[in-house]
Amino acid sequence: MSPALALQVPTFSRSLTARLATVLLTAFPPLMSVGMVLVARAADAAGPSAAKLAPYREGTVGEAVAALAGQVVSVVALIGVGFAVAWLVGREWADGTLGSLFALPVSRARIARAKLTVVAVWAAACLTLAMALVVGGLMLADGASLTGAVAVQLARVWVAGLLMAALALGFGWVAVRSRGYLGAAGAIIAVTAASQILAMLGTGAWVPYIAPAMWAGAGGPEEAAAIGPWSLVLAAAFAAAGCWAAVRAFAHARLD
Amino acid sequence: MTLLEISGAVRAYGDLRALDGLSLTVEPGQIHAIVGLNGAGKTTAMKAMVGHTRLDAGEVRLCGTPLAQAGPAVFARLGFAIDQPFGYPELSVRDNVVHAARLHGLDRDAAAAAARSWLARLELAPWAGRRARGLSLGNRQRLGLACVAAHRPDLLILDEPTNALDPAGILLLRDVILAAAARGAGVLVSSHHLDEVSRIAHRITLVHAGRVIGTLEPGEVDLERRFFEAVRAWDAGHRVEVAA
Repeated sequence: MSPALALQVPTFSRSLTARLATVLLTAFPPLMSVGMVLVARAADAAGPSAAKLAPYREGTVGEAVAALAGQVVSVVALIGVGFAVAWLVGREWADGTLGSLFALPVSRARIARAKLTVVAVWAAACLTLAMALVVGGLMLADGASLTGAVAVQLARVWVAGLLMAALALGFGWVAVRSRGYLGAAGAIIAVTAASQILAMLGTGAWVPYIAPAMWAGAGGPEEAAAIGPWSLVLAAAFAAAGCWAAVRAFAHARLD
Repeated sequence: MTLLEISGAVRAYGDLRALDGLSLTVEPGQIHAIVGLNGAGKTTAMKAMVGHTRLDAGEVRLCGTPLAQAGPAVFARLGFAIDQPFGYPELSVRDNVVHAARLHGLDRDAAAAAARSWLARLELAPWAGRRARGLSLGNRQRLGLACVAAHRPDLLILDEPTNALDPAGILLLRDVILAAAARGAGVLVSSHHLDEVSRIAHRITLVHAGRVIGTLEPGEVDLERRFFEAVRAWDAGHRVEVAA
């Protein structure tokens, strides 16, 4: 393992932020999809809760779980991965450790790439585990409803989650520009809120932070059908640009 | 070859000229101390030497290479502790030294061996497995020294390295600096402790108002008085200059 990666792996894995985000990314999707659908279909669900849970009683268990996973995974990926990368980048300023990373044989660009790589690999593993838990939970709850169409929808949710995780890496750039993780945390909240508003206004297809979620079914089947491949290509390109900007900003940062 | 050269360094923050034409060098085997009051420009000069801050004018050369063109081969010869020394609080003391040595170019085995050696040398072995966040301020300072010296750099830049060190720590630091110079490394050290500087430095440069205003002779008696005389003389001359 390269020196840059060898440093980032233990610093990230021992952080409280990474541990909390791991729980968020792996436990939240199965609990909020399989768990919610099972609660909605329980015989004793009554009162105001029953009305709120009514949509999750429509269709088969598999269809309801896949639809709900589409809403949950994208948001969780954006927030969880966003906070993780914000911490791993911003902590260098917050903890005063950045100064020691100057004038080293290992460049700061390589250190920044190592940070993004660690978060990306961790995010992919968490989201894969989360989707495996969703599938496992669905098989335990009602295996017969896990049809080919449901499996395809769940695979789409997984891909959308990975895309949102890649988009979240760009918050590393905000952490560099704001010299710490608090600015990036604010940006994550702002982007999440703005995405909700823009999605309601119907402009989601060409907003990188919305298109993958809509494609995964967060806005319903009609909205998902409206997302073409170019919307996803734009989102992927935006994610790549965000990573490039984060690495470049970290490599050129000063301590003036 | 001159290991470190900063020439005509100018750095302004708004109206404040933190560096105002500062120039100095560090030669192989030389311990060059820079002394000055708070705000004199010592730390800003050191930060410019490693790229923490950019210069408005002037140049920094490391091992003969302009800083902007320096690559891994040059940086592998450098060790510095400015403001906050290397040390991730969540990592163990041993791991911090290993990671620092690897980032400075040592392979994994050499870094592990260097960490063992330096933890013993700086009397940190009892805390080797403890997380750095649990160390006292003085021991964190020792850890920082181990992290910048474990790869045996040819040039050491140390900003106020005696801060927070107890007398035993100061003796260890003195041994490290003297040993580095004895094997041919150059050392640039800033300090407020004139007596300590006088004991080990080959050259003492007086920095004031962002520039070099004179030198002090190592081993000279009454160093403190001579230091203040030089500062006051420069201030008086500068006031006359401004009035004129």
